[in-house]
Amino acid sequence: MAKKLKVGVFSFSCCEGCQLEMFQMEGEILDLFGEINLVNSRLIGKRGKFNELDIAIVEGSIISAKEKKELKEIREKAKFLMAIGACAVTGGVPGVRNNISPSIKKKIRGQMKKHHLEKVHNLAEIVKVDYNLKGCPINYKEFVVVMNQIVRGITPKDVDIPVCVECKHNENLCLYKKNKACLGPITFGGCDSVCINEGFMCNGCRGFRPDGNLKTTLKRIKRTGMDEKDLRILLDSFHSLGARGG
Amino acid sequence: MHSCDISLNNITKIEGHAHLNLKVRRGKVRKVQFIVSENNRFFEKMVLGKSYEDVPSMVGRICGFCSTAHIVTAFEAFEKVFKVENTIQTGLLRELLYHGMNLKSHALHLYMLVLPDYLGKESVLEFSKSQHELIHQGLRLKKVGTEILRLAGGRAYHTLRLRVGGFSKLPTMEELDYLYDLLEKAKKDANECISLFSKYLPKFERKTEYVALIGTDYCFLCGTIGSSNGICVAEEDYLKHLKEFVVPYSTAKIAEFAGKEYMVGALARINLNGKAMKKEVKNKIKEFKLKFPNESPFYNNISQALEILQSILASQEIIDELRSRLRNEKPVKFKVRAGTGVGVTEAPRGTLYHQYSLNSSGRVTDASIVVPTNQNNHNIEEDIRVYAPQLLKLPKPKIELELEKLIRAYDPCISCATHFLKVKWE
Repeated sequence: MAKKLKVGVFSFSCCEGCQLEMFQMEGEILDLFGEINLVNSRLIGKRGKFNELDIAIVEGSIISAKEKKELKEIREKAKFLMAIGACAVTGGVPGVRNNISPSIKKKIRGQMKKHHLEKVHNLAEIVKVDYNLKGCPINYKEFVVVMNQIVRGITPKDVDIPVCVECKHNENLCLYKKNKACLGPITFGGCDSVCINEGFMCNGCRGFRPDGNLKTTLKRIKRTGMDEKDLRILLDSFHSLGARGG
Repeated sequence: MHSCDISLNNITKIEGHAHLNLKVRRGKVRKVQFIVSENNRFFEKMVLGKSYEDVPSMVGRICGFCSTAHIVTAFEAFEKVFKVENTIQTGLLRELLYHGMNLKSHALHLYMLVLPDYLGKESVLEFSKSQHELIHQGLRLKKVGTEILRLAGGRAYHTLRLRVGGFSKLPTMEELDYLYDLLEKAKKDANECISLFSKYLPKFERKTEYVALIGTDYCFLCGTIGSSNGICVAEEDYLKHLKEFVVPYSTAKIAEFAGKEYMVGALARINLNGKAMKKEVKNKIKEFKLKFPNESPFYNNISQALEILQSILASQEIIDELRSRLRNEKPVKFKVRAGTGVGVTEAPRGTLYHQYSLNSSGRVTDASIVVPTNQNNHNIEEDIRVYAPQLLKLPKPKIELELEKLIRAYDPCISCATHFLKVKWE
């Protein structure tokens, strides 16, 4: 049997929901862990020492100097680095603080000096990321597919379709037909349009597609009656960095 | 050994990043600090200026384990402001979601994070072939919880269907039937879970106060805030007794109730409200000769195991009722208005408080969130102060393991604890 790949799972500032979503795998997780050698995961209690890693799986956004340093160390040791979840890919919800008003920022100033970087970063702003697994939270089925590819030495490809494609497959009535805002047209699909299926709008958690027509979509959203402030809040909810998820 | 310095860095098998510093001299604890090092994400400030519609999905991201609790509790607070009266059906569905979340959270904690310590393993990955069945048992119980959340809430993590005054989408009859069968099958695992964890009860007791929502039912969403010292307050008056403090060494606040440290969570709930549990659960308590009320924090583990059975039975009861009454209800109509509202619920790890002030267009002007872990942190420190001297005869690695076991019994959730901190550095 070939030598098992060394894998480490690391968590920065986030809700750890993506790591939990990994545990959704149940049977599959044991199969997968049979194929790899998990050397580090604080959540399940592995804190082995390692000099090099074949795969580093990293969740969370980077909000302190310490985290930035740790991420760089992980990058140096890892042959392949995968960011999982919106926090790591786009800055996610912690990134909302990047664009809060100056008056609110003043209130958290005192503490920010002590611990925090001026800005919340996604991983790609600090180090080279080999693959971004998108979503808030990630979809465990997608994780299994992607992991299987990486373990076999294949770099996964982005699912480059907008959410709308899957939304149509799911026979949802377009929210724009109900004159409601939705970021589906410009957002990476692959989520099976789960939010719209459940009566929510797409808030773009998987990141914006480079091909997406941002300008027209925003114009269309304004026509639903959403004011500038709410539009800003909607865009900031996962895109404080203006990052394109891919 | 009468003196030792222990520092546990990056304690594993808990949710989030925390450390422990302990200094013992001549058998006396000189310093004990439970240090939360996770960086604050400033949720209480990030929601300012946002509409009540955007807040729940945002605060749900405080924590992956209990996001549903944050979402429901935020909605409860807004409903108080808008004076929304929920229908019975909405109440039942929300309670069902809480049972699902409880199953998921407790099963993960007990089997993935607690069990390795008691089987002498570093993590579940080292379990022997014959112990693999235990992992499957834990995952099966967890699956029941995630299926409830998926079918009643729309997604296993960061649920989507909750609205002010109701749900955007309801489960179908077939889905309810499927869940009922799933719960029926899970009973065997739940019984074995109680029997398994009844074996792992280290001897240690310390008198402290317990706080939970108390009602006639074993309910996670209703009741009044009660304590083992007989204090009883309405939800909106929680600030009369609950005070939060900042400590310079940690990024999480600590809390006191009526001027003292206290404990919340499964043990607190059973201590205060155990008589309202299902008969089958009470029989289990008798069968395994478990003593409640109990003052051992290690009893929190077995309390969670008992709650797994309780949640299975209660969920079946709710599904039975829903099957006879489920109607295609739309969320209740309401008018946005200004005001302040408090939501209080029992999250898996204990009492969770969300308080919001809204202006007349429904935007948040002030927010305050008190999570279970912050309430327990003080109690953890006080427990260690008493427990550590009892362990000094043991070799140092063993002391460290025992202290980690104690901390893990509290099921701390650090992501929650560091949602925000108002800092006064001294």
